[in-house]
Amino acid sequence: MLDIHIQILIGGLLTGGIYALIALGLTLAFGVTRILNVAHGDFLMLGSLVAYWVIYFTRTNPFLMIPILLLTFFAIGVTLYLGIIRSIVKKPPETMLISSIVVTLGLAFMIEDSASYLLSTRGMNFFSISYVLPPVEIGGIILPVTVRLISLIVIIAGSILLYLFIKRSLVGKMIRALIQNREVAISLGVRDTKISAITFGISIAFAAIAGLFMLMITSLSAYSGLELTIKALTIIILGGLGSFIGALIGALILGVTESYVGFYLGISWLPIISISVLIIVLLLRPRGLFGVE
Amino acid sequence: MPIALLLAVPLTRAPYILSFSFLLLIYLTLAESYDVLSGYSGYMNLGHVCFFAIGGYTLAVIVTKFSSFPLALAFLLSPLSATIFALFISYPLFRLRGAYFAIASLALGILLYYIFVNPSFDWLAGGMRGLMINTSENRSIISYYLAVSIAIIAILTHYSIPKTKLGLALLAIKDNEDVAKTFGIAPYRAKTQALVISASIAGFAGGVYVYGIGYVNPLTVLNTEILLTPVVMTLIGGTGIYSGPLTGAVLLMIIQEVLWVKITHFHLFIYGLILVLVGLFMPGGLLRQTQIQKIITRLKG
Repeated sequence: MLDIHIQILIGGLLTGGIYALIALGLTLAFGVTRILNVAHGDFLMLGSLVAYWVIYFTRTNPFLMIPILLLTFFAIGVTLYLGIIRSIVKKPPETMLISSIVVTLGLAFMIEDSASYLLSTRGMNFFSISYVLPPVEIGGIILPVTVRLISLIVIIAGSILLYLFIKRSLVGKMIRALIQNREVAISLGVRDTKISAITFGISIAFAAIAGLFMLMITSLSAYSGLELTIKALTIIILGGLGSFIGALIGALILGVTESYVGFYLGISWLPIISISVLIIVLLLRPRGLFGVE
Repeated sequence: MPIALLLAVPLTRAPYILSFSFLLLIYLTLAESYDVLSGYSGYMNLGHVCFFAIGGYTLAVIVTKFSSFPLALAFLLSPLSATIFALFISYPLFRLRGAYFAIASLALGILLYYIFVNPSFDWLAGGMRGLMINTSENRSIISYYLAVSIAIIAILTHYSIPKTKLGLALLAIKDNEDVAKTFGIAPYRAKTQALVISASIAGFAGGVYVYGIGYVNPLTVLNTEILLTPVVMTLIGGTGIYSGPLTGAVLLMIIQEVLWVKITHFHLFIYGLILVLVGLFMPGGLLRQTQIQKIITRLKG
C-alpha cells in the first residue's frame, strides 16, 4: 500500500516538475512585461511538434533536442516580443490587459489551426514518442521508466540554473528590478526592451522544453495548447502572479493533486479538481499563496 | 424601422436568413449582456458564456426530463438558474481584481465545460453527446421572436444602465475602486447587481438558443471559441457604449459567415488573425477610433 503511495507521489512530482517549467516561464514573462501570454501553451505544443518531427525523421536521442529547442524557441520568443508584444506594452495600462489577452489568444488560434492542418495532412490527431527504457527497481519501489527519471533530473537542473541566472547574473538582476518596480528600474538605466525580449525568449524556450518532456510521458494534439495554458495560469495564480517560488510550489501542488485524483477518481476529474483547488486558494488568499497583498 | 425589419424576417420564408438572423440576435444579446458588467465596471468576465450555458442546459433538462412541465415556465427558469449561479460565484470572484478576475472567470468557464463533459454527470447533462429536445413545428419562428425580444431587452438594459445610480457606481469603480468605496459606494453590491443583470439576460438567451437549435452539448455552448466570442465582439465594436457590442456582433457574424462560405481551411487561423489585429490596433473598439467618431458626429449633424 505504501509502495503505491510513493509511486503516485513520484509520478505527481514528475508532472509537477514539467508544469513548473511551463509556469515559471509564464510568470517571469508576466512579471516583467505585465503581458498575460495566453498562447504560452501553444508554444509548448509547437515545441513538442518540432521535437516530434525531428526525432521522427532523424531518430536522434530526445535529450539531444534540448539545446536545439532552447536556441530555436529563444529566438522565436525574442522575435515575438520585438514584433508584436512590444507594441502592447506601450499601451495605457487599462487597455493593456485586454489587448494582451486578445492578441495572444489570436496567436494561439493561429498556431492551433496551422498545427492541426499540418497534422491532418498526415492523418494524425495525436502525436507522442515512446522512448522507453526498462523500469528501475530500488528497494522494492518500482520507479517510473528511467526516461522520466532523467527528465526529472534535467527539469530540476534547469530550474536551479534559471534560479541562479535570475539571482546572480546582471541580466537576472535587471529582470528582477523590472518585476519589482518598472518605472524606477527604467529610470535607473535598465534597458526595458532588451530585457523584456530576453525574458520572453527564456519563457518561450522553457515552454518548448516542457513540450519535449510532455511528448515523452503523454500524447499531445494540436489543440492541447489552451488547456495547458489554463493549467499554467492556474499554477501561477495559485502561487501569486509574478512569484518565482509561488509558481514552483503551485506546480508541485497541482502535479501531486492530479496524480492522486487521477488514481482514485479517474482522469476525467482532473480539470475539475485542479480548478476547484484554484478557486479555494483564491477564496482564502485573493492574491495567491505567495502574492503580494 | 430596424425592429420592423427584424420582425419581418420570418416572412421571407428563407431558412438560411432566418437561422442567420437568429444566431446574430443570440450573439448580440450575449455581447450586450457581457458588456453590462465589463463595459461599465472594467471587470473582464471571460466566463460570461457560463450563464448562457446554464440557461440552455436548464431548459434542455426540464424539457427532456419533465415533459409535462409548461414550456413558458421553463423559459423563465433558465434566467433564474443563471442568476442563482451568478449569486453563488459572485462572492469568490469579486474578491479578485484585474488579471486575477479575468483568469479566474475564464477558468470557471472551462471548469463548467469539464463538468458537463464528465461521465459522472451523464444522467443529467448527457455528457459529450448532450441533450436533444423534442421539436415542435413552429420552433424556429417562436425562438426567433423570443430572440428578437431578448436582444431588444439586452440593448435597452445596456442603454439605460449609465443613466441609473448603479451605472454611476460601476463607472466610479472602473475609475478607482478604493476611492469609490470612500465616497460611499458599496463596490461588492454594485458589481453583484451588474453580474446578476448580465447573467439573467445571458441565461434567457441560452434557453432561447437551445430551444431554437433543438439540442445542447458542451461544445455548442462552451467551447473556447464561443467562450470568448462576446468578448471579441465587444472589443471589435467598442466597450461601455450600447452600440459597441451591436456593431461588433454584426461585423463579426458577417465576417465569419463570409469566411465559412469562401474558404475551406484555416477558419480558426483567420479568426485568430482578426483577434491579433483588433487587439493591436483598436483595443477601445471601432466606435472609439477617432476617424470613426468624426464620421458619427458628422452624421448626427
